[in-house]
Amino acid sequence: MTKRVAIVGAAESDFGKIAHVGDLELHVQAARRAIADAGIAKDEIDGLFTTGGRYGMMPIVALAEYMGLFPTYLEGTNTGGGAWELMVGHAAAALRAGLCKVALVVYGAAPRNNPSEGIGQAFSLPGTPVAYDDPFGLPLPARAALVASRHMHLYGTTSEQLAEVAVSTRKNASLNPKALFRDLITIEDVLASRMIADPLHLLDCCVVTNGGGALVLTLEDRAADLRRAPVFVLGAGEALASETLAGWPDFGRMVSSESGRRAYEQAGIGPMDVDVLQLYDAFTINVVLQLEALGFCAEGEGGPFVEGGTLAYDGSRPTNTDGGGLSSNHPGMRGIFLVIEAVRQLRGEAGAVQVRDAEIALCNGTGGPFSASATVILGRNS
Amino acid sequence: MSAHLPIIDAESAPFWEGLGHGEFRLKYCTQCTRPHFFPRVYCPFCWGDTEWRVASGHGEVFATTVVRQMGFAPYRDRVPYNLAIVVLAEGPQLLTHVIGIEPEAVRIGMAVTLAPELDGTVWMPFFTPR
Repeated sequence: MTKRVAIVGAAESDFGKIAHVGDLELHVQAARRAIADAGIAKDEIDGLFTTGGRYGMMPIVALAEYMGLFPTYLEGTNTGGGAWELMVGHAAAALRAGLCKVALVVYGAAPRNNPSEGIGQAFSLPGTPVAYDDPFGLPLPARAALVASRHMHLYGTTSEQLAEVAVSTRKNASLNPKALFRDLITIEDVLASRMIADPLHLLDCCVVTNGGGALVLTLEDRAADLRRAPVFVLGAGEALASETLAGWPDFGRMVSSESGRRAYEQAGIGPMDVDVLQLYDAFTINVVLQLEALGFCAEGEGGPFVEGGTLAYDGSRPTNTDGGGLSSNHPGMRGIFLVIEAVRQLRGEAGAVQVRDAEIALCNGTGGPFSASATVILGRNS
Repeated sequence: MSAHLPIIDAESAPFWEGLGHGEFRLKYCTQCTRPHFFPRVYCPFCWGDTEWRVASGHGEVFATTVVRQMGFAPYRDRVPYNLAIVVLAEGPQLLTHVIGIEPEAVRIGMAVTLAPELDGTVWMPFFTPR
């Protein structure tokens, strides 16, 4: 029988408005906490899984040198913010195949240090898809806004329904002492916040923070000797759409339906078996689309589904219980925080937002935010 | 040259030059006959050879937004402006601006036609209601 892979260490770095931190050091701070959580020594790490940042021609090599790591198995695929769900899937596959014994998945970024970067910045190289986006002035929120306009047109989704996502997520954040924004908000507050790109208001958009996170994975036999209760990787799946919206012919139908299908199949479960849900919430509309794509409601019914506090920790479908990117933290690629919060929930350590008897968690990371998707299903020993 | 302007190389030059003549030049596969956008040397569907043809310039708004906050010049100073995905009559879709109408008044399903507009040194493939 195939050995199971377990997450045995999980930790966030400091995050929020923290100043005087660099991208690289946040990786180490998170990794140091994650190996301490696991009870594993640094020198045991032989697999490094990271997207790398802006560290020159060979980002993963630069990061390894900074961290003093000499891994013999490397994975540096960058599929945007949800790359961390992809990394967990790839780490599990590598561990099962015996290509490494202790895998470190690690992330860190400090976008607040360079406020001029990011939103609306041109990234294009000649002949690449985004070379046909950048000349038109396309900030990230506008990408999500275009998708939202389509969803509203096809299904009658309303701004009030999108606001429900922000309101429930803030309710979760209100109980997370580390969340950037903790004051409760109402649907009216969201609608009254300034318009960024119609129909998305400021409070439909994620925050920008510094921060990082790390995960340590190993096979179940090793996990049995470690200090923390293992959280098993039950299934993983990934899929691509396109880098640009123009290259996405079924625009509005999330590529997450495919990554989710693969993860469900591997785990042998369906959406109704999931106790805790962590979805990549760069913008409120993204959550609605993922709920539909992953089978938590029917296509087009995401709007009505989120009404009435559904996604709050005490709602019928607890989602982004740490306060998500909408309220807690978002250094640019926050997918790793979805997994860290899922681990907390499955360990029963989520405090005030603990979902009772949580046994199965699903994390769905998207990048671009509609270009790529990866789904990871986690479970504990019951 | 402003950083936001298109990067024009040998592969893309016929497209951008065509706009100066009021033409929307579209790449078609000589093997599977399908059109695609953005223009590539080889067909993304079957990797066959491709050729330029002049498209109708007609299309329909597929998705639309009004950008009210943008961090970068020159668009920082052009807000509010429309951004739309337009589906060409020939099938492919592209990101564009619908101009000649209030940005909020652009509707999904609206029939539009090519209306190239000069931005600095480059004619841009904008659209306007037909």
